[in-house]
Amino acid sequence: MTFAPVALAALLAATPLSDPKVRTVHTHAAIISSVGIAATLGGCATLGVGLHNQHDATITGGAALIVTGLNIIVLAIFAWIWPEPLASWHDSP
Amino acid sequence: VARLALIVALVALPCAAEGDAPRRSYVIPAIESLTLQTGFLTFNNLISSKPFAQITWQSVSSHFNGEGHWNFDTDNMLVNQIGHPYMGNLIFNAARSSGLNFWWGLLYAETQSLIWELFFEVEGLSINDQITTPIGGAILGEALHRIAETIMVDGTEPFWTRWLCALLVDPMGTLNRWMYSEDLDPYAGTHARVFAAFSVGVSLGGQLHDTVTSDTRVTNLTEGFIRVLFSYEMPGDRRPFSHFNVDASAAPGAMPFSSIFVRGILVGDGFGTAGTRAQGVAGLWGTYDFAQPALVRASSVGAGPGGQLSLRLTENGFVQLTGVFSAVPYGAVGSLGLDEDLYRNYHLGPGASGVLDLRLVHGQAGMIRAVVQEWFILGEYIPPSGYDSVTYLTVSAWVKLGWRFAAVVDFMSVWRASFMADHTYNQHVQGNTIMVSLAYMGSEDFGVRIR
Repeated sequence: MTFAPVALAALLAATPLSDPKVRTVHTHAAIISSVGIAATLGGCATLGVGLHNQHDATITGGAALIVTGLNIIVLAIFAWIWPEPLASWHDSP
Repeated sequence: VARLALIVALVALPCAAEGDAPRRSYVIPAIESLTLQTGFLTFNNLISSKPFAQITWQSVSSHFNGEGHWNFDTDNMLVNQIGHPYMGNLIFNAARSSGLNFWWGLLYAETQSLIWELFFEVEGLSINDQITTPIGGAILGEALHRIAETIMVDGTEPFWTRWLCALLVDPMGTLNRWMYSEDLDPYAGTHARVFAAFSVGVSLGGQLHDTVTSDTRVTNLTEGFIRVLFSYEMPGDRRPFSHFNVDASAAPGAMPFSSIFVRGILVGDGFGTAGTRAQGVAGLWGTYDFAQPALVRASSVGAGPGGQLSLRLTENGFVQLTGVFSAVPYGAVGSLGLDEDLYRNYHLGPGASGVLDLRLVHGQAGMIRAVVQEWFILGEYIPPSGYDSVTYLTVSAWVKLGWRFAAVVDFMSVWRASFMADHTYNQHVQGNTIMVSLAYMGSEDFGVRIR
Protein backbone atom coordinates (compact mmCIF):
# COMPACT_ATOMS: atom_id res chain seq x y z
CA MET A 1 0.00 0.00 0.00
CA THR A 2 2.76 2.39 1.04
CA PHE A 3 4.80 1.74 -2.08
CA ALA A 4 1.94 1.91 -4.60
CA PRO A 5 2.38 5.69 -5.17
CA VAL A 6 6.14 5.17 -5.41
CA ALA A 7 5.66 2.52 -8.10
CA LEU A 8 3.17 4.71 -9.96
CA ALA A 9 5.59 7.65 -9.80
CA ALA A 10 8.36 5.46 -11.26
CA LEU A 11 6.04 4.24 -14.02
CA LEU A 12 5.04 7.78 -14.95
CA ALA A 13 8.68 8.90 -14.90
CA ALA A 14 9.46 6.26 -17.51
CA THR A 15 6.72 7.51 -19.87
CA PRO A 16 8.18 9.07 -23.08
CA LEU A 17 7.68 12.84 -23.45
CA SER A 18 7.22 15.14 -26.41
CA ASP A 19 6.25 18.74 -25.56
CA PRO A 20 9.24 20.66 -24.06
CA LYS A 21 6.93 22.50 -21.68
CA VAL A 22 5.46 19.24 -20.45
CA ARG A 23 8.97 17.82 -20.21
CA THR A 24 9.96 20.69 -17.90
CA VAL A 25 6.97 20.09 -15.63
CA HIS A 26 7.76 16.37 -15.59
CA THR A 27 11.37 17.10 -14.68
CA HIS A 28 10.14 19.16 -11.75
CA ALA A 29 7.74 16.36 -10.84
CA ALA A 30 10.65 13.92 -10.88
CA ILE A 31 12.59 16.14 -8.47
CA ILE A 32 9.56 16.40 -6.19
CA SER A 33 9.02 12.63 -6.44
CA SER A 34 12.61 12.04 -5.33
CA VAL A 35 12.03 14.24 -2.29
CA GLY A 36 8.79 12.37 -1.54
CA ILE A 37 10.39 8.95 -1.96
CA ALA A 38 13.31 9.96 0.27
CA ALA A 39 10.90 11.26 2.93
CA THR A 40 8.81 8.07 2.75
CA LEU A 41 11.83 5.80 3.07
CA GLY A 42 13.24 7.99 5.86
CA GLY A 43 9.89 7.78 7.61
CA CYS A 44 9.88 3.98 7.33
CA ALA A 45 13.35 3.81 8.84
CA THR A 46 12.42 6.25 11.62
CA LEU A 47 9.23 4.34 12.37
CA GLY A 48 11.24 1.14 12.56
CA VAL A 49 13.67 2.69 15.02
CA GLY A 50 10.77 4.06 17.07
CA LEU A 51 9.02 0.69 17.22
CA HIS A 52 12.27 -1.04 18.16
CA ASN A 53 12.94 1.43 20.96
CA GLN A 54 9.26 1.83 21.90
CA HIS A 55 9.70 5.61 21.74
CA ASP A 56 6.36 7.33 21.12
CA ALA A 57 7.67 10.60 19.65
CA THR A 58 9.84 8.69 17.15
CA ILE A 59 6.92 6.44 16.18
CA THR A 60 4.60 9.43 15.68
CA GLY A 61 7.31 11.42 13.88
CA GLY A 62 8.17 8.48 11.61
CA ALA A 63 4.53 7.87 10.72
CA ALA A 64 4.03 11.59 10.04
CA LEU A 65 7.14 11.61 7.83
CA ILE A 66 5.77 8.67 5.81
CA VAL A 67 2.46 10.52 5.28
CA THR A 68 4.40 13.68 4.34
CA GLY A 69 6.44 11.75 1.78
CA LEU A 70 3.39 10.06 0.30
CA ASN A 71 1.61 13.42 0.04
CA ILE A 72 4.58 14.85 -1.85
CA ILE A 73 4.54 11.88 -4.22
CA VAL A 74 0.82 12.38 -4.84
CA LEU A 75 1.52 16.05 -5.68
CA ALA A 76 4.15 14.93 -8.19
CA ILE A 77 1.74 12.42 -9.72
CA PHE A 78 -0.77 15.25 -10.20
CA ALA A 79 1.85 17.22 -12.12
CA TRP A 80 2.67 14.18 -14.25
CA ILE A 81 -0.92 13.45 -15.17
CA TRP A 82 -2.11 17.08 -15.50
CA PRO A 83 0.95 19.18 -16.43
CA GLU A 84 -1.05 22.19 -17.68
CA PRO A 85 -0.11 25.40 -15.85
CA LEU A 86 -2.34 26.64 -13.07
CA ALA A 87 -3.90 30.09 -13.34
CA SER A 88 -1.08 32.58 -13.45
CA TRP A 89 -0.57 35.43 -11.03
CA HIS A 90 -2.16 37.78 -13.55
CA ASP A 91 -5.12 35.45 -14.09
CA SER A 92 -5.74 34.67 -10.43
CA PRO A 93 -9.33 35.69 -9.67
CA VAL B 1 -20.34 27.84 12.16
CA ALA B 2 -21.68 31.30 11.26
CA ARG B 3 -18.23 32.40 10.09
CA LEU B 4 -17.82 29.27 7.96
CA ALA B 5 -21.27 29.82 6.43
CA LEU B 6 -20.37 33.43 5.62
CA ILE B 7 -17.09 32.39 3.99
CA VAL B 8 -18.84 29.68 1.94
CA ALA B 9 -21.35 32.32 0.74
CA LEU B 10 -18.53 34.70 -0.22
CA VAL B 11 -16.76 31.85 -2.02
CA ALA B 12 -19.85 30.96 -4.03
CA LEU B 13 -20.55 34.50 -5.26
CA PRO B 14 -17.45 35.19 -7.38
CA CYS B 15 -17.18 31.58 -8.54
CA ALA B 16 -20.61 31.72 -10.13
CA ALA B 17 -19.38 34.45 -12.46
CA GLU B 18 -15.96 33.01 -13.27
CA GLY B 19 -17.07 31.07 -16.38
CA ASP B 20 -14.27 30.23 -18.79
CA ALA B 21 -11.41 30.86 -16.39
CA PRO B 22 -7.85 29.48 -16.48
CA ARG B 23 -7.18 26.14 -14.86
CA ARG B 24 -7.61 26.00 -11.10
CA SER B 25 -7.21 23.09 -8.74
CA TYR B 26 -9.11 22.42 -5.55
CA VAL B 27 -7.23 19.19 -4.80
CA ILE B 28 -3.62 20.42 -5.00
CA PRO B 29 -3.96 22.99 -2.16
CA ALA B 30 -5.76 20.41 0.00
CA ILE B 31 -2.88 17.94 -0.40
CA GLU B 32 -0.30 20.68 0.07
CA SER B 33 -1.99 21.86 3.26
CA LEU B 34 -1.99 18.33 4.63
CA THR B 35 1.68 18.00 3.62
CA LEU B 36 2.53 21.19 5.52
CA GLN B 37 0.73 19.92 8.59
CA THR B 38 2.25 16.45 8.60
CA GLY B 39 5.65 18.00 7.89
CA PHE B 40 5.22 20.35 10.85
CA LEU B 41 4.11 17.41 13.01
CA THR B 42 7.18 15.45 11.92
CA PHE B 43 9.50 18.35 12.80
CA ASN B 44 7.95 18.85 16.22
CA ASN B 45 8.19 15.15 17.06
CA LEU B 46 11.64 14.33 15.71
CA ILE B 47 13.55 17.62 15.94
CA SER B 48 12.10 20.00 18.53
CA SER B 49 10.28 17.32 20.62
CA LYS B 50 7.41 19.64 21.51
CA PRO B 51 4.85 18.14 23.92
CA PHE B 52 1.92 19.50 21.89
CA ALA B 53 2.91 17.28 18.96
CA GLN B 54 2.98 13.97 20.88
CA ILE B 55 -0.43 13.01 19.57
CA THR B 56 -2.13 9.70 20.42
CA TRP B 57 -5.51 8.13 19.68
CA GLN B 58 -6.58 9.36 23.12
CA SER B 59 -5.56 12.96 22.39
CA VAL B 60 -7.50 12.95 19.13
CA SER B 61 -10.60 11.37 20.67
CA SER B 62 -10.47 13.92 23.52
CA HIS B 63 -11.30 16.60 20.94
CA PHE B 64 -14.53 14.79 20.09
CA ASN B 65 -15.72 13.59 23.50
CA GLY B 66 -15.61 16.97 25.26
CA GLU B 67 -12.43 16.45 27.31
CA GLY B 68 -10.32 18.71 25.10
CA HIS B 69 -13.06 21.28 24.65
CA TRP B 70 -12.81 24.69 22.98
CA ASN B 71 -10.92 27.27 25.07
CA PHE B 72 -8.27 30.01 24.86
CA ASP B 73 -4.78 28.51 24.91
CA THR B 74 -1.83 29.72 26.98
CA ASP B 75 0.82 29.73 24.24
CA ASN B 76 3.17 32.68 24.13
CA MET B 77 2.31 35.72 22.05
CA LEU B 78 4.90 35.08 19.35
CA VAL B 79 3.53 31.59 18.62
CA ASN B 80 -0.10 32.69 18.68
CA GLN B 81 0.17 35.99 16.88
CA ILE B 82 3.03 35.38 14.41
CA GLY B 83 3.35 31.59 14.13
CA HIS B 84 -0.31 30.82 13.51
CA PRO B 85 -0.98 33.63 11.02
CA TYR B 86 2.19 32.62 9.14
CA MET B 87 1.00 29.00 8.93
CA GLY B 88 -2.40 30.26 7.78
CA ASN B 89 -0.62 32.33 5.13
CA LEU B 90 1.13 29.22 3.74
CA ILE B 91 -2.17 27.35 3.40
CA PHE B 92 -3.92 30.42 2.00
CA ASN B 93 -1.24 30.82 -0.66
CA ALA B 94 -1.30 27.12 -1.56
CA ALA B 95 -4.90 27.84 -2.61
CA ARG B 96 -4.20 31.24 -4.20
CA SER B 97 -1.37 29.87 -6.33
CA SER B 98 -3.63 27.02 -7.46
CA GLY B 99 -5.88 29.59 -9.12
CA LEU B 100 -8.42 30.01 -6.31
CA ASN B 101 -9.62 33.42 -5.17
CA PHE B 102 -9.16 35.20 -1.83
CA TRP B 103 -12.32 33.79 -0.25
CA TRP B 104 -11.45 30.22 -1.27
CA GLY B 105 -8.02 30.76 0.27
CA LEU B 106 -9.67 31.92 3.49
CA LEU B 107 -11.91 28.83 3.46
CA TYR B 108 -8.89 26.53 3.02
CA ALA B 109 -7.05 28.27 5.89
CA GLU B 110 -10.16 28.04 8.09
CA THR B 111 -10.71 24.35 7.31
CA GLN B 112 -7.08 23.31 7.65
CA SER B 113 -6.81 25.19 10.94
CA LEU B 114 -9.77 23.17 12.23
CA ILE B 115 -8.15 19.93 11.01
CA TRP B 116 -4.93 20.91 12.81
CA GLU B 117 -6.79 21.60 16.05
CA LEU B 118 -8.73 18.32 15.86
CA PHE B 119 -6.02 15.89 14.78
CA PHE B 120 -2.52 17.34 15.08
CA GLU B 121 -2.32 18.80 18.58
CA VAL B 122 -2.50 17.23 22.03
CA GLU B 123 -3.84 20.42 23.62
CA GLY B 124 -7.51 21.31 23.81
CA LEU B 125 -9.19 23.00 20.88
CA SER B 126 -8.03 26.60 20.71
CA ILE B 127 -10.57 29.32 19.92
CA ASN B 128 -7.92 31.99 19.41
CA ASP B 129 -5.94 29.81 16.97
CA GLN B 130 -9.12 29.19 14.97
CA ILE B 131 -9.53 32.98 14.66
CA THR B 132 -5.96 34.18 14.06
CA THR B 133 -4.76 31.35 11.78
CA PRO B 134 -7.28 31.85 8.95
CA ILE B 135 -8.01 35.57 9.29
CA GLY B 136 -4.45 36.67 10.01
CA GLY B 137 -3.24 34.12 7.45
CA ALA B 138 -5.51 35.45 4.70
CA ILE B 139 -4.67 39.12 5.35
CA LEU B 140 -0.93 38.47 5.60
CA GLY B 141 -1.11 35.90 2.79
CA GLU B 142 -2.82 38.08 0.21
CA ALA B 143 -0.31 40.87 0.84
CA LEU B 144 2.61 38.45 0.44
CA HIS B 145 0.96 36.85 -2.63
CA ARG B 146 0.76 40.22 -4.37
CA ILE B 147 4.25 41.30 -3.25
CA ALA B 148 5.71 38.09 -4.69
CA GLU B 149 3.82 38.67 -7.94
CA THR B 150 5.20 42.21 -8.13
CA ILE B 151 8.74 40.96 -7.53
CA MET B 152 8.48 38.30 -10.24
CA VAL B 153 6.52 40.20 -12.88
CA ASP B 154 7.69 43.78 -12.47
CA GLY B 155 11.19 43.32 -11.10
CA THR B 156 14.12 44.22 -13.36
CA GLU B 157 16.72 42.16 -11.50
CA PRO B 158 18.04 38.81 -12.86
CA PHE B 159 15.46 35.99 -12.84
CA TRP B 160 17.12 33.93 -10.12
CA THR B 161 17.30 36.85 -7.65
CA ARG B 162 13.64 37.67 -8.26
CA TRP B 163 12.73 33.99 -7.91
CA LEU B 164 14.69 33.70 -4.64
CA CYS B 165 13.06 36.83 -3.20
CA ALA B 166 9.61 35.60 -4.26
CA LEU B 167 10.37 32.22 -2.66
CA LEU B 168 11.20 33.91 0.64
CA VAL B 169 8.07 36.09 0.51
CA ASP B 170 5.58 33.51 -0.78
CA PRO B 171 7.08 30.00 -0.58
CA MET B 172 3.97 28.03 -1.49
CA GLY B 173 3.05 30.23 -4.44
CA THR B 174 6.56 30.27 -5.83
CA LEU B 175 6.95 26.49 -5.50
CA ASN B 176 3.62 25.87 -7.26
CA ARG B 177 4.55 28.17 -10.12
CA TRP B 178 7.96 26.53 -10.41
CA MET B 179 6.36 23.08 -10.37
CA TYR B 180 4.01 23.95 -13.24
CA SER B 181 6.64 26.00 -15.07
CA GLU B 182 4.48 29.08 -15.35
CA ASP B 183 5.43 31.54 -18.05
CA LEU B 184 6.00 34.93 -16.52
CA ASP B 185 5.61 37.62 -19.10
CA PRO B 186 6.73 40.91 -17.53
CA TYR B 187 4.86 42.87 -20.20
CA ALA B 188 1.49 41.11 -19.88
CA GLY B 189 -1.43 42.18 -17.76
CA THR B 190 -1.93 45.21 -15.59
CA HIS B 191 0.89 46.36 -13.38
CA ALA B 192 0.63 47.39 -9.77
CA ARG B 193 1.74 50.80 -8.60
CA VAL B 194 4.09 50.12 -5.75
CA PHE B 195 6.10 52.17 -3.30
CA ALA B 196 8.66 50.00 -1.51
CA ALA B 197 11.27 51.36 0.90
CA PHE B 198 13.92 49.33 2.69
CA SER B 199 15.54 51.01 5.70
CA VAL B 200 18.54 50.17 7.86
CA GLY B 201 18.98 52.21 11.00
CA VAL B 202 19.45 52.57 14.72
CA SER B 203 16.88 52.89 17.45
CA LEU B 204 18.30 55.22 20.09
CA GLY B 205 16.62 53.39 22.95
CA GLY B 206 14.49 55.03 25.59
CA GLN B 207 12.50 54.25 28.68
CA LEU B 208 8.97 53.30 29.58
CA HIS B 209 7.78 55.27 32.62
CA ASP B 210 4.94 54.50 34.96
CA THR B 211 2.64 57.48 34.47
CA VAL B 212 1.31 57.20 38.03
CA THR B 213 4.55 56.76 40.04
CA SER B 214 7.05 58.09 37.42
CA ASP B 215 9.19 54.98 38.03
CA THR B 216 11.16 53.59 35.12
CA ARG B 217 9.56 50.29 34.12
CA VAL B 218 11.59 49.22 31.07
CA THR B 219 14.82 50.55 29.56
CA ASN B 220 15.24 49.87 25.85
CA LEU B 221 18.83 49.69 24.64
CA THR B 222 20.21 51.28 21.52
CA GLU B 223 20.06 48.70 18.74
CA GLY B 224 20.01 48.36 14.98
CA PHE B 225 16.93 47.52 12.97
CA ILE B 226 15.72 46.93 9.45
CA ARG B 227 12.36 48.04 8.14
CA VAL B 228 10.19 47.62 5.07
CA LEU B 229 7.38 49.92 3.98
CA PHE B 230 5.28 48.62 1.10
CA SER B 231 2.31 50.50 -0.38
CA TYR B 232 0.42 48.82 -3.22
CA GLU B 233 -2.31 49.86 -5.62
CA MET B 234 -3.64 47.88 -8.60
CA PRO B 235 -5.55 50.26 -10.90
CA GLY B 236 -8.95 48.97 -11.99
CA ASP B 237 -8.79 46.00 -9.65
CA ARG B 238 -11.81 45.46 -7.38
CA ARG B 239 -10.64 42.23 -5.78
CA PRO B 240 -9.53 42.04 -2.13
CA PHE B 241 -6.25 43.85 -1.47
CA SER B 242 -6.28 45.94 -4.63
CA HIS B 243 -4.98 48.56 -2.17
CA PHE B 244 -2.87 47.59 0.80
CA ASN B 245 -0.05 48.74 3.03
CA VAL B 246 2.56 46.73 4.92
CA ASP B 247 4.87 48.17 7.58
CA ALA B 248 7.32 45.63 9.02
CA SER B 249 10.47 45.95 11.09
CA ALA B 250 12.91 43.60 12.78
CA ALA B 251 15.57 44.10 15.42
CA PRO B 252 18.02 41.63 17.01
CA GLY B 253 16.38 41.95 20.44
CA ALA B 254 12.92 41.10 19.16
CA MET B 255 13.41 38.51 16.45
CA PRO B 256 11.83 37.46 14.21
CA PHE B 257 9.74 40.62 14.08
CA SER B 258 9.60 43.81 16.04
CA SER B 259 6.41 44.69 14.29
CA ILE B 260 4.26 43.98 11.27
CA PHE B 261 1.16 45.99 10.39
CA VAL B 262 -0.94 44.97 7.38
CA ARG B 263 -4.09 46.70 6.16
CA GLY B 264 -5.86 46.12 2.86
CA ILE B 265 -9.22 46.73 1.28
CA LEU B 266 -11.48 43.64 1.14
CA VAL B 267 -14.60 45.00 -0.52
CA GLY B 268 -14.89 48.49 -1.93
CA ASP B 269 -14.34 50.81 -4.85
CA GLY B 270 -12.34 53.81 -5.91
CA PHE B 271 -13.56 57.36 -6.35
CA GLY B 272 -12.24 60.32 -8.30
CA THR B 273 -11.53 59.97 -12.02
CA ALA B 274 -8.13 60.42 -13.64
CA GLY B 275 -7.10 64.06 -13.76
CA THR B 276 -9.10 65.16 -10.73
CA ARG B 277 -7.39 66.61 -7.66
CA ALA B 278 -8.96 64.17 -5.19
CA GLN B 279 -8.87 60.42 -5.65
CA GLY B 280 -9.09 57.46 -3.36
CA VAL B 281 -10.74 54.24 -2.33
CA ALA B 282 -13.25 53.34 0.39
CA GLY B 283 -14.91 50.20 1.68
CA LEU B 284 -14.40 47.33 4.09
CA TRP B 285 -10.78 46.77 5.10
CA GLY B 286 -9.00 43.88 6.80
CA THR B 287 -6.19 44.39 9.31
CA TYR B 288 -3.53 42.25 10.92
CA ASP B 289 -1.17 43.81 13.47
CA PHE B 290 1.67 42.58 15.62
CA ALA B 291 4.03 44.76 17.67
CA GLN B 292 6.55 43.20 20.00
CA PRO B 293 7.81 45.77 22.57
CA ALA B 294 7.50 44.45 26.15
CA LEU B 295 4.77 46.14 28.18
CA VAL B 296 3.17 47.89 25.23
CA ARG B 297 2.98 45.05 22.73
CA ALA B 298 -0.22 44.66 20.77
CA SER B 299 -1.65 42.30 18.19
CA SER B 300 -5.04 41.85 16.55
CA VAL B 301 -6.93 40.71 13.50
CA GLY B 302 -9.99 42.63 12.40
CA ALA B 303 -12.14 44.15 9.72
CA GLY B 304 -14.03 47.41 9.43
CA PRO B 305 -14.78 50.51 7.39
CA GLY B 306 -11.95 52.59 6.02
CA GLY B 307 -10.77 54.76 3.21
CA GLN B 308 -7.81 56.39 1.57
CA LEU B 309 -7.93 59.91 0.13
CA SER B 310 -5.16 61.45 -1.97
CA LEU B 311 -5.14 65.16 -2.84
CA ARG B 312 -2.91 67.11 -5.19
CA LEU B 313 -2.08 70.44 -3.55
CA THR B 314 0.53 71.80 -5.96
CA GLU B 315 2.56 70.49 -8.90
CA ASN B 316 4.80 68.54 -6.52
CA GLY B 317 2.78 68.66 -3.31
CA PHE B 318 0.44 65.86 -2.26
CA VAL B 319 -1.37 64.82 0.86
CA GLN B 320 -2.76 61.36 1.58
CA LEU B 321 -4.91 60.33 4.53
CA THR B 322 -5.79 56.71 5.28
CA GLY B 323 -8.14 55.74 8.08
CA VAL B 324 -9.31 52.26 9.06
CA PHE B 325 -11.43 51.40 12.08
CA SER B 326 -11.76 47.69 12.76
CA ALA B 327 -13.88 45.45 14.88
CA VAL B 328 -11.50 42.98 16.51
CA PRO B 329 -12.81 39.47 17.25
CA TYR B 330 -9.57 38.60 19.02
CA GLY B 331 -6.78 40.85 20.19
CA ALA B 332 -3.85 40.40 22.57
CA VAL B 333 -2.05 43.26 24.29
CA GLY B 334 0.52 44.06 26.92
CA SER B 335 2.12 41.95 29.57
CA LEU B 336 0.70 40.78 32.91
CA GLY B 337 4.13 40.40 34.50
CA LEU B 338 3.95 36.58 34.47
CA ASP B 339 6.45 33.92 33.35
CA GLU B 340 5.64 33.49 29.65
CA ASP B 341 6.93 29.90 29.62
CA LEU B 342 4.33 28.90 32.20
CA TYR B 343 1.40 31.26 31.86
CA ARG B 344 -0.47 33.36 29.34
CA ASN B 345 1.34 36.64 29.85
CA TYR B 346 -0.93 38.99 27.94
CA HIS B 347 -4.40 40.39 28.06
CA LEU B 348 -6.78 39.01 25.44
CA GLY B 349 -10.28 39.68 24.31
CA PRO B 350 -12.49 41.24 21.67
CA GLY B 351 -12.31 44.96 21.00
CA ALA B 352 -11.53 47.50 18.34
CA SER B 353 -8.52 48.96 16.61
CA GLY B 354 -7.92 52.00 14.49
CA VAL B 355 -5.21 53.54 12.37
CA LEU B 356 -4.79 57.00 10.87
CA ASP B 357 -1.92 57.45 8.42
CA LEU B 358 -1.21 60.97 7.13
CA ARG B 359 1.46 61.59 4.47
CA LEU B 360 2.51 65.05 3.33
CA VAL B 361 4.67 64.62 0.27
CA HIS B 362 6.80 66.99 -1.76
CA GLY B 363 7.99 65.14 -4.83
CA GLN B 364 11.43 66.80 -4.82
CA ALA B 365 12.09 67.16 -1.08
CA GLY B 366 10.61 64.27 0.88
CA MET B 367 7.75 63.31 3.15
CA ILE B 368 6.35 64.01 6.59
CA ARG B 369 4.34 61.05 7.86
CA ALA B 370 2.28 60.73 11.02
CA VAL B 371 0.68 57.43 12.04
CA VAL B 372 -1.62 56.92 15.03
CA GLN B 373 -2.58 53.37 15.98
CA GLU B 374 -4.91 52.38 18.79
CA TRP B 375 -5.93 48.99 20.16
CA PHE B 376 -8.77 48.80 22.68
CA ILE B 377 -9.16 45.29 24.08
CA LEU B 378 -11.79 44.09 26.52
CA GLY B 379 -11.03 41.22 28.90
CA GLU B 380 -14.34 39.51 28.36
CA TYR B 381 -13.16 36.09 27.11
CA ILE B 382 -11.17 35.05 30.18
CA PRO B 383 -9.87 36.69 33.40
CA PRO B 384 -8.55 39.21 34.23
CA SER B 385 -11.60 41.23 33.33
CA GLY B 386 -11.23 44.89 32.47
CA TYR B 387 -9.98 46.78 29.46
CA ASP B 388 -6.69 47.75 27.95
CA SER B 389 -5.77 50.65 25.68
CA VAL B 390 -2.50 50.75 23.74
CA THR B 391 -1.65 53.74 21.54
CA TYR B 392 1.30 54.30 19.19
CA LEU B 393 2.11 57.65 17.63
CA THR B 394 4.90 57.75 15.05
CA VAL B 395 6.00 60.95 13.31
CA SER B 396 8.57 60.47 10.54
CA ALA B 397 10.54 62.89 8.41
CA TRP B 398 11.90 61.55 5.10
CA VAL B 399 14.47 63.76 3.34
CA LYS B 400 15.52 62.81 -0.19
CA LEU B 401 19.26 62.45 -0.65
CA GLY B 402 19.23 61.51 -4.34
CA TRP B 403 19.79 58.16 -6.08
CA ARG B 404 16.53 56.92 -4.50
CA PHE B 405 18.02 57.21 -1.02
CA ALA B 406 16.41 59.10 1.83
CA ALA B 407 17.42 59.95 5.39
CA VAL B 408 14.64 59.10 7.83
CA VAL B 409 14.08 60.25 11.42
CA ASP B 410 11.21 58.70 13.40
CA PHE B 411 9.89 59.89 16.72
CA MET B 412 7.73 57.24 18.36
CA SER B 413 5.61 57.65 21.44
CA VAL B 414 3.62 54.86 23.11
CA TRP B 415 0.98 54.78 25.83
CA ARG B 416 -0.73 51.92 27.62
CA ALA B 417 -3.49 52.21 30.17
CA SER B 418 -5.15 49.12 31.61
CA PHE B 419 -8.05 49.10 34.01
CA MET B 420 -8.58 45.60 35.45
CA ALA B 421 -10.92 44.38 38.14
CA ASP B 422 -7.79 42.91 39.75
CA HIS B 423 -5.64 46.03 40.23
CA THR B 424 -2.39 44.06 40.43
CA TYR B 425 -2.51 43.70 36.64
CA ASN B 426 -2.98 47.40 35.94
CA GLN B 427 -0.33 49.14 33.86
CA HIS B 428 -0.11 52.85 33.12
CA VAL B 429 3.03 53.45 31.11
CA GLN B 430 4.37 55.87 28.53
CA GLY B 431 7.61 56.02 26.56
CA ASN B 432 9.39 57.71 23.68
CA THR B 433 11.97 56.51 21.16
CA ILE B 434 13.88 58.15 18.34
CA MET B 435 15.06 56.14 15.35
CA VAL B 436 17.34 57.24 12.52
CA SER B 437 17.75 55.26 9.32
CA LEU B 438 18.78 55.30 5.69
CA ALA B 439 16.09 54.20 3.24
CA TYR B 440 16.37 52.91 -0.31
CA MET B 441 13.17 53.53 -2.26
CA GLY B 442 11.93 51.56 -5.27
CA SER B 443 10.17 54.68 -6.53
CA GLU B 444 10.06 58.30 -5.45
CA ASP B 445 6.35 59.01 -4.97
CA PHE B 446 6.14 57.78 -1.34
CA GLY B 447 3.04 55.78 -2.19
CA VAL B 448 0.91 58.86 -2.91
CA ARG B 449 -0.41 58.72 -6.46
CA ILE B 450 -2.66 61.00 -8.44
CA ARG B 451 -3.48 59.74 -11.91
